[in-house]
Amino acid sequence: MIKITLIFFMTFSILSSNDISLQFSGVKTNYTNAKGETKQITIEREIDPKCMDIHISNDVFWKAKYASEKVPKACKSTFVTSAGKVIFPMQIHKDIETYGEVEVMAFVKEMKHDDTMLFIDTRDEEWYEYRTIPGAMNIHYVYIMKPEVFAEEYKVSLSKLGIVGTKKPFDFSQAKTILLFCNGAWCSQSPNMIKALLALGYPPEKIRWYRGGMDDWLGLSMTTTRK
Amino acid sequence: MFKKYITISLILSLYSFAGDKGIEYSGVMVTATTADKQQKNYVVKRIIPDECKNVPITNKMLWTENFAHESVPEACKSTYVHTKGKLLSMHLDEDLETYGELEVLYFLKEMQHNDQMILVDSRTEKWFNYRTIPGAINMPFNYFEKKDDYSFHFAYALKYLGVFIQKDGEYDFSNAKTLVLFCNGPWCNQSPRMIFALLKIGYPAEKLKWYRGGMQDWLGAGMTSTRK
Repeated sequence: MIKITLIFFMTFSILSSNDISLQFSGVKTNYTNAKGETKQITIEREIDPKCMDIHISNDVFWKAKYASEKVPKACKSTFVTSAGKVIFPMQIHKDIETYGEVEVMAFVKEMKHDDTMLFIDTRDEEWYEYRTIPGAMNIHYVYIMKPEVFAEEYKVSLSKLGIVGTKKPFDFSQAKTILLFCNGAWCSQSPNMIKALLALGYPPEKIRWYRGGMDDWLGLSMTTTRK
Repeated sequence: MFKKYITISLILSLYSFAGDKGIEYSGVMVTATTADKQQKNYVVKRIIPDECKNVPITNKMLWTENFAHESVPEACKSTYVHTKGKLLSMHLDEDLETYGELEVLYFLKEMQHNDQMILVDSRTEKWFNYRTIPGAINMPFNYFEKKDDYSFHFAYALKYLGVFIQKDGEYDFSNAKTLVLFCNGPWCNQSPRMIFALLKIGYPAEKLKWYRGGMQDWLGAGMTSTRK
């Protein structure tokens, strides 16, 4: 018993215990859809009561195509395993911090009282509208990557990011602290946006990357904008 | 000595924007010992069956209903229990690096000619025997967490890890090996518990790496495991 207590204590010393427990207590945030309708959503780890009694064993977890047929639908989900050209490394740049789910929740919570923070879904509008992480706004990566094609969107996006100026060198003193994600560790959209931002001169210390993206978010039963 | 491996992720980060197909497709040759003590060779890589190459990356294919669409061939999708355990933070300790799939592959590659490096499946034996990452050895977390109950296994494991017990009973970590530890997924606490138990006895954090994604992210990325 004593040992277990110690272990928990040590876990909490890295992130605060409050942050770790956000998965149970939840984080309230707002989601605004394309029509401009805003609704409040609480992000949390959604565990259906039906799933409480699932036994953690090989047969239940790793047989055949993995989760057993006996596992209720509410407690499992299926993912495409062959998507994407490459898998991205854990660290995309030496000064850009990689976030996990707990850090994302803490960021969204913090963001409520801090308008210098932005949480960004870098996929195109169709994906964003269909299902995203509540609290995220949408800036499609191509808007930053291809200003010659998306001149107007580029301008609007730079302004959302707090970048001042119309050409290099830009003024990044008001640039937001941003957290980017896309479909998963194999998805190149958020890495492409990061690459384009760095090329503009965006300070890497103001960029965070949620590498796991929708894949890990949903694979851990976290709240999204669609049931 | 271990400094070289700490940099794996930084080296990777330099190339990460290139978008070239890398080690996840060229693969790593590994000889692993199976549960029935047979030696078996594997090429550890990302496997994308031909029938999966034309699956379009669209909302419909990826995210409808309970996610992967029914028209996606069975070979290109898999199902995970998503409601178990407790999510852990990205970093367990300031000096302890968290690995992803590519870093694990590079480590596995280096490990083939460097006996100072070990990939450790920290789950109990039945999990390891059923399905693991080829090249991993099994060291259950409870040998370390409950070292007094498992004194024989604990002593044997320490020796394997290159840790010596000095005459005064203190541990000597100067030749301790560099480990990558993993378990079932980001919600699984077995590898974190082993890491905390190792840190508690003084194992240098720089010699420990954590593959947080574990079996769930490994299989979710279509990577080779010891069972088809």
